[in-house]
Amino acid sequence: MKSYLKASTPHVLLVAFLLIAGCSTTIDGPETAPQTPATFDESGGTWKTYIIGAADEVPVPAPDTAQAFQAELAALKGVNPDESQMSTARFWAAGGVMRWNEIARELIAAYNTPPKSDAEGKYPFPDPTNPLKEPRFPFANPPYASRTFALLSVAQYDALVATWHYKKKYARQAPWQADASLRPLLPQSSLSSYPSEDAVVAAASREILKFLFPGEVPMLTAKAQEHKDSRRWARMNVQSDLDAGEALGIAIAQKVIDYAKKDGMGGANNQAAFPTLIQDAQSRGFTTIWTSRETPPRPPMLPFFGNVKTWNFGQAEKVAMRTTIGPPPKPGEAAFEKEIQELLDISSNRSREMVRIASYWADGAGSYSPPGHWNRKATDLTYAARYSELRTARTLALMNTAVMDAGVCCWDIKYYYMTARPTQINASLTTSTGIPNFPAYTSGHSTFSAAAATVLSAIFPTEQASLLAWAKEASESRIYGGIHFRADCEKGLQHGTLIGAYAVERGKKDGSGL
Amino acid sequence: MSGNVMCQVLSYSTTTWSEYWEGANKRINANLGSFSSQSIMAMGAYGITDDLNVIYALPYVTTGFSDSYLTGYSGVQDVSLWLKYKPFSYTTSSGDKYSVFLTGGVSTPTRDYVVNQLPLSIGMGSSTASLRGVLDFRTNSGWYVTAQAGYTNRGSIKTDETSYFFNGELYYTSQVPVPDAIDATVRIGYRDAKGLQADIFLDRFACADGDDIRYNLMPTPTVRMQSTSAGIFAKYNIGNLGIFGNVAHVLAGRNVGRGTAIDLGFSYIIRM
Repeated sequence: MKSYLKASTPHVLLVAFLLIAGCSTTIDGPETAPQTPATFDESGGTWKTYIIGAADEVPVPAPDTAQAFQAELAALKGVNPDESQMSTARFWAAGGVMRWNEIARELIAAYNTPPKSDAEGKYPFPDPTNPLKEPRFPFANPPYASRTFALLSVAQYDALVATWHYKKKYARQAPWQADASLRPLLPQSSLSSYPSEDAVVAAASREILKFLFPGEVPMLTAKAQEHKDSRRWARMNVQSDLDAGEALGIAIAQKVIDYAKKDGMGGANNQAAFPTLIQDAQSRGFTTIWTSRETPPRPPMLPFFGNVKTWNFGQAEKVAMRTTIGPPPKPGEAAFEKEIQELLDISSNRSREMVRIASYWADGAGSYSPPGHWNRKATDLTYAARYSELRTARTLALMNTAVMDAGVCCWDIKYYYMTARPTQINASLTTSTGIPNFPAYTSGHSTFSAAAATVLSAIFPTEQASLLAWAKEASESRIYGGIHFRADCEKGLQHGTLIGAYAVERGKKDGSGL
Repeated sequence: MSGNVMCQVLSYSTTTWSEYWEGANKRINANLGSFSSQSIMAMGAYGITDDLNVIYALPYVTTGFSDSYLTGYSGVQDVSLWLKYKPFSYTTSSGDKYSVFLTGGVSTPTRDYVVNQLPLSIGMGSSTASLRGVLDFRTNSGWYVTAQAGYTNRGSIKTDETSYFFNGELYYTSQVPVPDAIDATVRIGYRDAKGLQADIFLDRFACADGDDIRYNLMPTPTVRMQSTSAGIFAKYNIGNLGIFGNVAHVLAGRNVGRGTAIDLGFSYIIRM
C-alpha cells in the first residue's frame, strides 16, 4: 500500500499543480445553432439585383410535381442521417450565406501573406497559374479581400433574388408539405424548396471563390458538396431542388465572374507605371514622396487599385469625394508638425491600452484583414437579428460593395498624394504594429471601417452608437500603432462615411422596403 | 540544499540571434535585423529540511530588434515557485553519491503584458505547472553527471486580437492555446574542494504540439518551438559568495532563433 502511494505521488502532484495553475489547453469556438428566420421575405424575388438585369435572366425549368417528384420524396423518406451528418446539417443550417462568408475569411487569413524577398533582393509576384507555389497566389491583402467579399456577397445576393423569384413562381411544395409523413430534421421554412437556396448559395459561392483562390478548388468543391448533401441528410430538399439550385448558382456566379474580369483589377498591380504616379503627385506639389519602409524596398501594394470599378457610384462621384476630402497637411506646416509631435509622444510613452487597441484592430498580415473583421461583425448582427438568407445576403452585399468602394477610393487618394508614413518622416518613431507598404494618406482602416459602420448603422439603427464607436476606435488604432497621422485617420473616416452613404441610398431604393 | 539554509541569486542574462527557423527553414530577416533580450532575475532557494527546498524566481525582461521600427517591450515577467524534493540518495562506501530529485512548480505572469508579439513579447503570458525529475551522480573525486527531464503544462492565454489562425483554421476567440513543453538536460562536470565548479551541457527543448511559423509571418503563441543547445557553465565559490557564468548556443531548432545566451550572476548563502 505504501509503495503504491509513493509511486502515484507524481500523478497526484501533477493533478494538484494543474488545479492550482488552472490550465486548460483545449479551446472551443462559439457554437452557432440552426437559424429560423424572423421572416422569410417571401417577396424578395422583386428586389433590385447588382449584376443580373432581372430575376429571371437565368432560366430555371419548371419542376416536376408528379411521378418523378413522388419518387424523390420516397427516396428522401429513406434517408437516415448518422450523428456526424446531422451535426454537419446543423452547421450549415446556421446560414449558408454566413458559412460561406466564414470560408472566405479563412481563405483570406490563409493567403494574406506578403511575398518574401529572394536572394537578389526582388519580391517574386505570386503566379496565378501555379497558385500553391510560394509565394502563393493570391496575396490576399486588404484590397483583394474587399473585392473578394464584394464579389461573393453580390453573387450570393443576386442568386438568392433569382431563387426567391422562382420559388414564388413555381411554388412547388416543400417535401414535408407534399408528404406529411416525411419528417424534416431542421426548422421548416414557409418558402417553396425549389430551387434550393442552399444549393444556390453553395454553387455561387464555390464558383466565386474558385475564381479568386484557384489553388483551393478541391476544398471548395468538397465544402459545396457537403453543404448540398446536408440538405438531403436533414430531409429538407429533394435532389431536383438541389440540382436546380446548383445550375442557377453556377450561371449567376459566371455573370459575376465575367463582370470581375473586366473591373480593372487586372491592371491594379501595374508596377511599371508607378513612376508616373510619383510624377503626378510631385506636379501637384507633394514632394515628400512615400518610399517603402522594408528592406529591400518592396514594390507598393496595388498602386492602381484606385482605378478598379466601383459599385455604388461612378468616376465623377469618386473624384468629387476626393476633392471634398482635400489634401493632407505638408511637412513644415504647423498642422503637420503638431501631428508628428503627437506620434512622438505616443512613441515614447505608448500605454498598454494603446497597444491593445492597435493590436485589436491591426488585422494585418496573416489575418482576415479589416474587411474580414467587419464581415464578422456583420454576420454577428444578421444572425442575432434572425435574418433570412436573402436578407443576410442583401446586408452583406450593401456593406461589401461599400467596403470595396472604400478600398478603391482610399487607394485612389493614397497614390494621388503619395504621402510618407510617419516613420519615413522621423526614423526615431516606433510602431507597435506592422507598417503597411503603401502611402499613408488616407488610412485604409478608417475608410473601410466608416463605410462598413455607415451601412450597418442604417440597417441596424439600434446598433449605431457602438458601430460608429468601433469605426472610430479602428481608425485611432492606427495612430496608437504609430503608422498613421491623425489627418490620415480623420479624413479616412469622413471619406468612408460619404462612400457608405451611397450604398445606404441604394438599399433604400432596392425594393426591399427595408 | 540543507535545511535552514537560504541561497539568494541575482543574475543577468542576454540572448541574441539574427538567424531563425521559419518552420524548418533557417533564414534571416532584413526588416528585423538581430533580436536581443536582456533579463535581470532574482532567484532564491530555501531549505525547509535537508530533503525539501522551496525555490522562487522573478525576472525583469527587455526585448528589441536592431533594424525594425517595431517597439520592443520591457517589464517584470512571470513569478515562479517550485518545491524540490529529494526522495532518495545513497552514498557508497567509497564516497560516491547517487541522488534523485523531484521538482514541481507553478508560474504565472505578474501583469498583463503583450503576449502576441513574439519574439518581442517579454514572455508567453501563460500560467504553467511543471514537473521535473533529476538524477545526479557525484564521485568522491569531484566528477558529476546530472540528467534531468521536465514537462510543463502551459495554460491558454488571452490575446489582444479576437481571432487566430492555427493549422489552417481560423478561430474566433482571444483565448489561444499554448503548447505544453518538454525539456531535458544532461551535464557532465567537475567540482574541486576549493569551490571551483564547471560543466558542459546539452539541452533539448520541444513543444508537445503546435504549428509552424507561417510563410514570412511572425511567430504566434501556438508555434511548435524546438531547440537543441550546448553550453558551458562555471562557478566559483568564495565562502558564502558564488560567482557564476553560463554560455549556451542553439545548435539546431525549429520556430526559434539561432541564439546565443550568456548568463552572469552572484549567489549568496545565508545559514540560519
